[in-house]
Amino acid sequence: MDALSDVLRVVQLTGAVYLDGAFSTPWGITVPADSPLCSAYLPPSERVISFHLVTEGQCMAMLSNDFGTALQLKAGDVIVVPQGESHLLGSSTDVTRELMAPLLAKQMEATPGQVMTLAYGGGGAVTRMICGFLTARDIWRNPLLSALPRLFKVDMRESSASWIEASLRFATKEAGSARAGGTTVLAKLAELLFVEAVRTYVDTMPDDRKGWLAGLRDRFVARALTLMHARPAHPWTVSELAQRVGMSRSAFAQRFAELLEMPPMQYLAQWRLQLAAHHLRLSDRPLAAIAEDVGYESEAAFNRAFKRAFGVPPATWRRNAAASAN
Amino acid sequence: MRVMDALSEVLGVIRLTGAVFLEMELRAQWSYLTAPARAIADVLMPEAEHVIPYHLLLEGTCYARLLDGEFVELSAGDLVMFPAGDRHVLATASDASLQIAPTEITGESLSFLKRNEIVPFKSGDKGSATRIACGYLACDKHLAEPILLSMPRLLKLSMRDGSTAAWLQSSIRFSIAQSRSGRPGSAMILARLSEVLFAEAIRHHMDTLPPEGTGWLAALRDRYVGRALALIHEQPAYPWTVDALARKVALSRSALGQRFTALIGRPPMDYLLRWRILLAARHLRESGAPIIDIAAGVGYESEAAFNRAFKREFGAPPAAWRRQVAQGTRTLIPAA
Repeated sequence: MDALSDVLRVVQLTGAVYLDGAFSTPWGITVPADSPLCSAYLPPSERVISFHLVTEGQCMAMLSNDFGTALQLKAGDVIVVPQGESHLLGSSTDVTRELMAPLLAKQMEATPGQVMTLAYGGGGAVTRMICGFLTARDIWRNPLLSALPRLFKVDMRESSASWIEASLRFATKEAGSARAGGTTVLAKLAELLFVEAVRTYVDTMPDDRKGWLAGLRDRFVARALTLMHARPAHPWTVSELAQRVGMSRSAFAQRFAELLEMPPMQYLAQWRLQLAAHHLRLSDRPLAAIAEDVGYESEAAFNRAFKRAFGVPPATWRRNAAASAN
Repeated sequence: MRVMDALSEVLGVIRLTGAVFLEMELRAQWSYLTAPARAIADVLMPEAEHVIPYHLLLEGTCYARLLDGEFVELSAGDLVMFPAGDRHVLATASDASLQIAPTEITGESLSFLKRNEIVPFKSGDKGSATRIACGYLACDKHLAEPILLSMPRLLKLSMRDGSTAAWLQSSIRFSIAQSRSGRPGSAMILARLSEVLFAEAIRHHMDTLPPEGTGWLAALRDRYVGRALALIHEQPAYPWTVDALARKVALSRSALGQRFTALIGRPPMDYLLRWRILLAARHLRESGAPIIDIAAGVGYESEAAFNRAFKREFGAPPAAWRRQVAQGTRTLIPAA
């Protein structure tokens, strides 16, 4: 499995679409962090990701109170707020802003959990948008979630998977007809949209960008990431990785550290613990087995490393995770 | 309170995960008896409780049948799915005189498969090619019971018509090609697409059920019973009564009871209780939570009442069942 798919597997993305909206100039909407809207659609999780897909017209998006992040959006663009921070959407940056949730309160009560519709604004040029959330398990320094910018846009119509944008538009319309299973199809499409937005973002990132996503793009580092993610328990060494990707040990170590801002073995150690936390949450396998699955030879060494990372020993962490799930 | 349709609610709890694992290109005369679904799962997803194999015809034609069934013809754009996980035969010809004895694929011969990767497989060099994408869906067995029990053992559907099916088919083809070229994230995209494929196959099957059909999927189409099912599945722990359900769906108590029983095969409260016990069984198995908390979590006010109900469904009290499952001395699946 490629490293991106593997990381996405562990974060257990779950998506939902809540709004098919038509906004007319002038208009301004604030989507606050910790929106009560999300909890009406998805079970609680560590991380809420907001997204909006512009299907018609154009608009502006920015993080609240940070004009430096302002981006102009056109039909086909999706905007993603990976940390779910408060953000503003509007016909321009200087409009009066309304909060999203109160505008939808009545519908929320009448048809909870379904795709809502909204026509809002001053009556000028119309922008249509499909709005949704994704929740993710962000246990501890997830490589992907910590690598994404706080706000980014991707042109989905230019992406090689423009079918996702078209399908989402179609499925949102279909949601009104309340066909059985419609919510599931929309959820999966929202997840696909996010994955494709990340892939396309990686493809179009500036060349000098650093971080995990830049690592995915480098053929040597990406190959090393794939190897580690495919067999996290293998006793990898820098030498073996370098040899497998076809580079000298020192050149590989330098390149990896330069892009990921940590040495390969530190990356592997962090990923093993993330994976262990994932297994602790989802399976009832004994600690010793999980320790072994992720490459620790002794349960004691695993316990120590886990506690250093998560602040509590794995057994306690598992109990807490189970208690919060119930 | 979230309100979804009952199908989405059930699809949401069964932990559906899918994958495409094999891309076959077959020429000339061929016939295969597929490996048991369990053997495929053992290689690709050992933790899966239940595995549903499927094949999407990318190019050419072929025939598929259950071991005890008749051949159905498949052409490019057709999907065939085996919800109960049955072994099946795939072959170039259906005509008895043209048939060759199927090559049996055993569990041992599957070691070339790789988890989360699409492995290419080619056979034969003469004649026109049949290309097949083989995938599976894994899910919880007992929580998926409402769906699995109301699906046929072999389900064929055309993915050429209908807008959802059509984009789904083209996107699966496209993603397989991307996966071949090593684009990051491809395994995840194909997993999600397989899951949409399953939802679409169920929806398609529902549309083809006769108007007088019965079973869980037929019940979803009924505006009263479908709504009652949605309510039950959204809030299984709520102290539902037939009265409360009937009021919510705007039908008389007796009419709802009758209609529900006619479609589902058991009365509403019976259905609710079984669903609660199935949910509780998952918690019992997966969390270390005290039994009284699990009982409360699915709507039981007393542990004693929960114990009795659990024993009725699973044949053992919850504490003993939990111990036996952990020791591997008891299978998970209660009788329906």
